[in-house]
Amino acid sequence: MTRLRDLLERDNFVVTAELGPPKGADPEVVKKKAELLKDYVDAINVTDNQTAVVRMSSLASCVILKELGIDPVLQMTVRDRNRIALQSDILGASSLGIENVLCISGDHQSFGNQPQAKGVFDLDSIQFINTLKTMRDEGRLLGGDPITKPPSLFLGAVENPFADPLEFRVLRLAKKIRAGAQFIQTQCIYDIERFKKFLSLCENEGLLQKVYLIGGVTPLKSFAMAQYMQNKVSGILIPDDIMSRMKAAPKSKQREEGINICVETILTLKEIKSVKGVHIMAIEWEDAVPEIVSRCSLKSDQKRV
Amino acid sequence: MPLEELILSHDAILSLGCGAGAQMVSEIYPEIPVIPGLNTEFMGETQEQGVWLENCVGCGDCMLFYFGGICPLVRCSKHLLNGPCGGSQGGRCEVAPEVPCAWQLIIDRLKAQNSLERLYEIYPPKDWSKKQGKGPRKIIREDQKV
Repeated sequence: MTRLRDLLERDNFVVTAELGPPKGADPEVVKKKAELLKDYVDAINVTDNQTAVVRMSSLASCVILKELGIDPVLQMTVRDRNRIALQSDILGASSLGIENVLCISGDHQSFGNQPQAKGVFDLDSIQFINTLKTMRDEGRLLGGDPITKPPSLFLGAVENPFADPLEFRVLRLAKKIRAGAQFIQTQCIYDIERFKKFLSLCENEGLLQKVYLIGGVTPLKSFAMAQYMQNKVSGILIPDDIMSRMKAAPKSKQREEGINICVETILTLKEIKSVKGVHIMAIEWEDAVPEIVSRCSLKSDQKRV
Repeated sequence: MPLEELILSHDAILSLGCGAGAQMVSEIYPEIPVIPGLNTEFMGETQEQGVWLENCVGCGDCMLFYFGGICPLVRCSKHLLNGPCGGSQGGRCEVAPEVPCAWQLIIDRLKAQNSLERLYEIYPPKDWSKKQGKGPRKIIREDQKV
């Protein structure tokens, strides 16, 4: 059983962080980022060619983390692999002891540095989760062929409570859970009110007893970043009061204000019963994580039940 | 001059037909190079004078009924079969502001048809062998042969 699953099952409030692999073959970059995060988080997600920019593979980076004694969460998109490659990579991951898998569709190839690439999308994220559940629980591949040794997997999915249409987000979460998702990591939360509305809709459907919901947060580095995320990144909502706070902070203090907002958000999330942890996505700013975690009194070496 | 003679007296044929037309001409006159004059793009509908929209990929396994007559395989940038990704906002696709989110269209259409429950179902992976199984697909209608 993975550390992440074990802590969640024993009702701990977990902390996960995101690590973006380098645009190169140097393992030291992964190790350096990992060492920075190691004592502050319970598990580390490794992104899979995020924003469709080519980077060191998520699976290879997860192996490096594993060697450092860290519990990795393998993010895998359906953008770059068909069903043959997806199933094969998952068997490989499990064979290397990597069992937390986050199944995602992935940023569209047009955003990255290979916009001429053919987007695969042979399966969608829900079909992918369901395929992995069948492989694990029934020992069968898609199409029915038996697997000699089924993989051990703790299956995760993402949900964006801030994308539209809101009611359908709940239905989609229900589908992901039915497909086999055991934990959910959400898109970055800034708009707590909307997030709470999403939670109460989920509650009405009885979804939150069936899955571990981990709230996503991203510290804002600057007012310019806040503006970019608000205007250019689809599915991100930053309420006016946060925008004004970032704007009001002098340039040299904006990082600090971004961290303040992030800490406040985490402390609010921690008080919500159905939120089982936070996922900190400090984009190319992994060294912000220790401060954020310490200020929230969430250090991973603190006493766990 | 008969067509055949005219063609054979030239070095090449520039085809302004679609890709299928260019291939057919090449088959009839295998000794003359055929240069495709167009980049054939899609099967679609004429939305208005001068505007065409791609709306069928010819998958060989039509699911339009389930999705209110809107095909997510072609209209959704990620070809998703189980609902919108996290990049759907205000009815728009994350890929470009001028692209409508196919799933918003599907949800609105099914709502109008009082059939939203069709989206509760988890649609299984698509059988792509019907589109790209073994070489080019061929349709044979024995009853129409002469």
